[in-house]
Amino acid sequence: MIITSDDILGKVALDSEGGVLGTVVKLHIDKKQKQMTGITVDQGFLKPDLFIGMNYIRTFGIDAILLNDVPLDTLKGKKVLTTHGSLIGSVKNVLSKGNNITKLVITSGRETLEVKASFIKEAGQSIVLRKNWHKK
Amino acid sequence: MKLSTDIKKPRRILSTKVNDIEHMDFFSRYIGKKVFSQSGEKVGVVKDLIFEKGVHKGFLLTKNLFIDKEYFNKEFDEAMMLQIEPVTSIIGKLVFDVDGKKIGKVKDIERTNHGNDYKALLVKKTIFSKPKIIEKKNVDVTKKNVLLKVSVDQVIKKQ
Repeated sequence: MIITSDDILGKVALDSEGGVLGTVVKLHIDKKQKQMTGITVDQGFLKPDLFIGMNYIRTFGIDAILLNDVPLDTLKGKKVLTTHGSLIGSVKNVLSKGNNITKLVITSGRETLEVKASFIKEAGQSIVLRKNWHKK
Repeated sequence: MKLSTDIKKPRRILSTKVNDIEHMDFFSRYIGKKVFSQSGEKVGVVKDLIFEKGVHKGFLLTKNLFIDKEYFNKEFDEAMMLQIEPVTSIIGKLVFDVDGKKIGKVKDIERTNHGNDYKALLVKKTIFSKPKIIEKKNVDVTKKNVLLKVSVDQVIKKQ
């Protein structure tokens, strides 16, 4: 089935948890291979554009582009809480190997903390850390 | 009986059973506390505590939501954390089918009891459109929004 740029541009991009990433604003095409390599998503005001490679795209849907994963970049800026509801800070950066998180870099007031991925209990609307997250 | 004139302990106690209340829980400690789901989604703010015959049963949050105390983590600091993803949080989420077609928004959930489970979702595209009933078995994900396992044509049961 053939689709055109009209079927992709302007559509909403959703991650595998149904999270709205933004609007597709660009298509990327390899000039030599003459193949599409990915899309750029406008994440909104004050957020950087997000490039998504073709291997992360599950479906070019009727109303939305569905991804097969949650881009790690979307964790940036999320609040970080403990299981007791204490606010530790917010995610400044995500360190990863491939698409697997290795560490979170968290800003907490004036401090910067690094927390190993094994201490992440939940990563949803916020990040929830396990009880012993502060232990090395 | 010793009269208490110590200004460091202004609180006076009248009880034959209680000597000290500092280690006890205060109602005011809960009121106004934010409540987050297990995944860190804000569910609401505590407005009241609910008792039945003197026994604490749960919490009344904003949006008129009552949550049984069994669903809460016992210990909390700045906010209260749930041990669950409340099924009521699905209301208001967008619904897309497996083909990326937008079906609408979850307007309500069909439940068999008051537990944390649902039978079906009631979805509407616009306020004027007829609601569509989508059974739980056809739902894949309900985390940030709702993604279905199948296309909308296969599952619609018109009300």
